[in-house]
Amino acid sequence: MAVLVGPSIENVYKELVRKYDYENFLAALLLPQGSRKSTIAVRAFNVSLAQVQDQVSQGLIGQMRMKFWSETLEAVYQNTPPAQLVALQLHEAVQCHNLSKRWLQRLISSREDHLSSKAFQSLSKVEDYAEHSVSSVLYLTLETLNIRKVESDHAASHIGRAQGLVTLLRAIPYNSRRQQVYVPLDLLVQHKVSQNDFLRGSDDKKMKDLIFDVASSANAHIQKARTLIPKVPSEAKIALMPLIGVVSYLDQLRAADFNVFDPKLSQRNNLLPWKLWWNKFRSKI
Amino acid sequence: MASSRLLQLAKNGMLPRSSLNMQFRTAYKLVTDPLGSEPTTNQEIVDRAGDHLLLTEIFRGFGVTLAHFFKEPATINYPFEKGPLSPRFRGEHALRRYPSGEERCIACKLCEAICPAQAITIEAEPRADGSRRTTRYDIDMTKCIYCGFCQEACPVDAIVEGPNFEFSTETHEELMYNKEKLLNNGDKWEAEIAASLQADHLYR
Repeated sequence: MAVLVGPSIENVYKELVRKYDYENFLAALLLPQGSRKSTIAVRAFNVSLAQVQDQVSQGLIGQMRMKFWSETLEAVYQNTPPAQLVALQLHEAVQCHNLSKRWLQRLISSREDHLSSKAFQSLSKVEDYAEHSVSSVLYLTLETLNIRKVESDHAASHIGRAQGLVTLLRAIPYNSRRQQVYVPLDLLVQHKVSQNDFLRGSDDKKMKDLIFDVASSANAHIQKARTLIPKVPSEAKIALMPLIGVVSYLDQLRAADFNVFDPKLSQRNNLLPWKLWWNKFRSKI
Repeated sequence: MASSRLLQLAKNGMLPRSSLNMQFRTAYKLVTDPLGSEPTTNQEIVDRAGDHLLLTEIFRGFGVTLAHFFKEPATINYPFEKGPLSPRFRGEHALRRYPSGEERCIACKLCEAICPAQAITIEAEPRADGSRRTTRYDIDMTKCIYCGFCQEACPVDAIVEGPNFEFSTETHEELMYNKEKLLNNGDKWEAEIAASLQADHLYR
């Protein structure tokens, strides 16, 4: 296992997060030294899990991989991690910050459930999925800062939900290209939009109304989180920085008149690093 | 020649019809001018003479040739030039390493379990430093059906089906790949393999 350390190997898992989860990687860079390394390890674990459903063609193979990760998690907590980079980094993070196993397990179980039942029945199901798969990472980030308070977890829960909803919106053009639609069925019925409209990439009034509905429920979570933030300890705010990326996407979406297929929305926001740094500087989110 | 003589004989009635078992079509009309028909009107005579004197057809033929000269060729010079490949192309197998040189495979045996052709054989034991590694990783490339399940099942992105499709051999034994061969493939094709694993955003 000694071979799996050193600067070149450290970059591999950082690169994993930087490539696939760029905005959250930027937010993680602002954390203090020890917490940063562990958060990136947790994020790398999250990336490995999230990618499974895109990499497999059959549910069974996905389940096998999820089983591998849950066994790996067990091994990490028994101090016998397999000689795999992400597992080793996660082990180190768990050792350093005494991370709760529950949140890591929820990351796996939410992805595993999503593998078997891909279509969301309702918006609240999407929010539950977001709470399990996104908020858990924020709770773990708070734990790396040694903050275990109800107030900060409550704010993180809402921020995670908003982030999950925004991810749903962001993924629409990508999934349409792959002939997949994950928009909740109740919204499709309510707005009389068919899944084919998504595959065609139409941007008519009905579609924009639907997108507006999802975006406004994400916004409601952001507003709720903003009311909670004054109660959050000031050193916890840095863990909730991913909120900035979510708000900036929603602003861009509004500028594009709620057309998710606008090509500008899929471009990388080059101002985001400055925005994050400026908000850290003023310790405000 | 023999067949045309037979035909001649049959036509002249010197062979019984049934012995040839052939059909001669008689109920047809020629709708085009019979070849070599003489021009009738003056206009036709002048046109045809002009075509012959000015070598019109010859130059039109040259024109077609010249046009193809400047067109992009439809073929490629294969062993030296290669056609485009999809990043999802599933070719020859390779075992990848981390940049430090350590192999990625941790002997979880998921690829062995999922392989529908049972082409993969793995034996593993823990090393001196406690990490579990394969001592044997064989793929029978003549059993493999190139379904890509091994690559999908691998949780550490160790076994991949790279972009190489030129690995024909003269003997069957050469297609029984062992771990060394697979790791060498990984070293050889790492740049291409890493490039085809790209994506840009976490959409989940």
